[in-house]
Amino acid sequence: MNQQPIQEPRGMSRRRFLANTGYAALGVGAVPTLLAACSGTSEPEHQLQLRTQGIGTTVLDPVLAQFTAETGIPATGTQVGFGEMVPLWIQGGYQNQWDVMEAQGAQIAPLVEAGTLQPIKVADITHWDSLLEVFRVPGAAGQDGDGHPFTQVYTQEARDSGALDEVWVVPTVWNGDSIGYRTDLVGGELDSYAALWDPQFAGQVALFNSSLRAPMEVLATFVGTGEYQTEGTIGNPSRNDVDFAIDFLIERKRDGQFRLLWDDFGHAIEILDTGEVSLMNAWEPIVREVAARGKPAVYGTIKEGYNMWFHGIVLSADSPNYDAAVAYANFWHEGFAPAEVANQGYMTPTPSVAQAALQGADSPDAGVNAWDYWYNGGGRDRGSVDDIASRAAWWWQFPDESEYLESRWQDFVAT
Amino acid sequence: MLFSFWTGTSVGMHSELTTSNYTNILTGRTFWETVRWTLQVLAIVLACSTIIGVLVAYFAARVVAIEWVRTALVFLLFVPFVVSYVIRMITWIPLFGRAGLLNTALTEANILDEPSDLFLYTSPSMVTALIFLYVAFIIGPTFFKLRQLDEDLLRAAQNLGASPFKTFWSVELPLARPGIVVGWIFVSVMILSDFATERIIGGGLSPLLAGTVWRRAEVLLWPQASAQAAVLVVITLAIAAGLLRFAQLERDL
Repeated sequence: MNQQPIQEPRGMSRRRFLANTGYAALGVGAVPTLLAACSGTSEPEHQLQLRTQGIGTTVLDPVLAQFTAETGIPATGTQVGFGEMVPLWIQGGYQNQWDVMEAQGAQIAPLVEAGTLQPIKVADITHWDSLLEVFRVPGAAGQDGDGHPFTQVYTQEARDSGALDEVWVVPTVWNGDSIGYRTDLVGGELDSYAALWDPQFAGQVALFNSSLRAPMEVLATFVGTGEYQTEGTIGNPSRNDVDFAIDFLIERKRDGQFRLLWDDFGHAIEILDTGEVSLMNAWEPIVREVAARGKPAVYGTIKEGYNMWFHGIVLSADSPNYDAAVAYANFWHEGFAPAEVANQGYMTPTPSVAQAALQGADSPDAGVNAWDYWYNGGGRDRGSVDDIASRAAWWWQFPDESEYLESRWQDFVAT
Repeated sequence: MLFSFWTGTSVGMHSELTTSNYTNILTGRTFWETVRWTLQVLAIVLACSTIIGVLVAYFAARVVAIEWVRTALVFLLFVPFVVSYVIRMITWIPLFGRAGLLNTALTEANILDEPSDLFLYTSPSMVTALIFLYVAFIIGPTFFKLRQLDEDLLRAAQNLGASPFKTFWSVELPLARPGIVVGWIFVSVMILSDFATERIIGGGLSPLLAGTVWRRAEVLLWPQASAQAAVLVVITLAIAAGLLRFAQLERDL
């Protein structure tokens, strides 16, 4: 093996290097970027590359390796915590550390407002017309009261002009959050968020420690029964809506309804697996993991609908790698990446494109392929992809009253 | 610190100076309730870990006669700290959970009819966890202070007819006080900055002050988090200063 003397890479000033390493030092997960900054830019500047940032469930080494193998574009990924994504990006990461971020729908608005994104042309996205309508057609079934996710996807100009030719984000993966429970501990099937507040399960319930989850589930419950009408929407409640939800939660807490709040993915698996709690508002991979450990854990199909979310590719306003970002987005719509994330319950927005690859992939049931299990209603506690897409109670977003909601959520937590 | 006077927006904050982050906090009932609860927990933990810590330190320093056993004992105290903090906390589920060792033992011995939820995700379980997590920081300094005492002092007390307890109470304890107070400072600072125990053992439904600061930062409310953190720093410094004054460390150490 040749030993090359260490030299200053072309096209990289000392100042730029320091900036890169400085940002890399901000996050432990940034080590790959640091390495890339030290060694990866010795190619000429016009060489396309893809530097992506996001949470560990979408920034995946096998996906990046396959992307490079198929397109020849070198790719590096940085995994960061969900709460760190936007701050690291806005504080300078978008300028010289990353080309794209695999952002969640709710994060788009602050990223746009901060001027950190450039639009992507719809014409460059090969499979755009195969995207589920909920993402790209105004008024399609499954959108919430604020028009999400359609309104999160397109630029304001593209919507106002009706041209629908430019987007801020290309959706790549989506799912609905609901409740997870143990049939052996609750004694049957549950189909409503009302179970979380049901006195017969007092002391057996865990809630996700987020102001964007349980309060909305309270609103969805009582809107569902017709006992309450929101002034805002479930996903974007007014102050009065927030007060209604939090006051109800405080009352249930005083009666001992809730055993604990969970924050951490691994911890959430443990408490359901060991039966410390019987039911919880959950993420699907938590429930799938507990089921894989042999416990009768079910992911609820809820009549009020799911808390929907999607992640997608957004492109830095300063990135010189537009073509790499577009290629990466297109790659996510084909079969490889959707098959990689399928066993977490996560779905592609282009099921018809990925169908063939998914039919060749395994599911948790021996003899049932990933397409039939996850997309075609073959999973025991799971409808078809169209069924799930049409059942949105709300799409994840930061409400206008986020700060008020958060301070009221603290009242609930600390009371 | 400067952030705590800035104005928060949905994308973060801008540098328009405001005191509303402080007025919102300083007038909020929930915040002061959390402060009161944090100080209450701190007082309980300090009291219990002082009793346990001084007894263990005395045992190790006076009762154990063999040098290597004594060294091994003190070393054992710090073994748990070799394991990562979060792993140490997660081991509590198999010990104190519904199907944990303690509940299994109590039900098999017919002390309980069915497993109890009291041992995990409750305030008492959180306080107990905090005591056992941090008692080593009281034992350590107290032990070393006791070992430093002049043996002649102890013999003098005996010759003057003092019982072992009288010797402990009137001679050894006052002379070990700087060690205990150093331990109090360690424990106070750590409890005031502990945001994990309250969640992982306490269940997150009776939060301590550091946890609420962390929570604000997590949801990008940096100015409010900074303002709360500033209050937390003031409380921590006040407690540390008060304890230092009480011990008159500069004279004793």
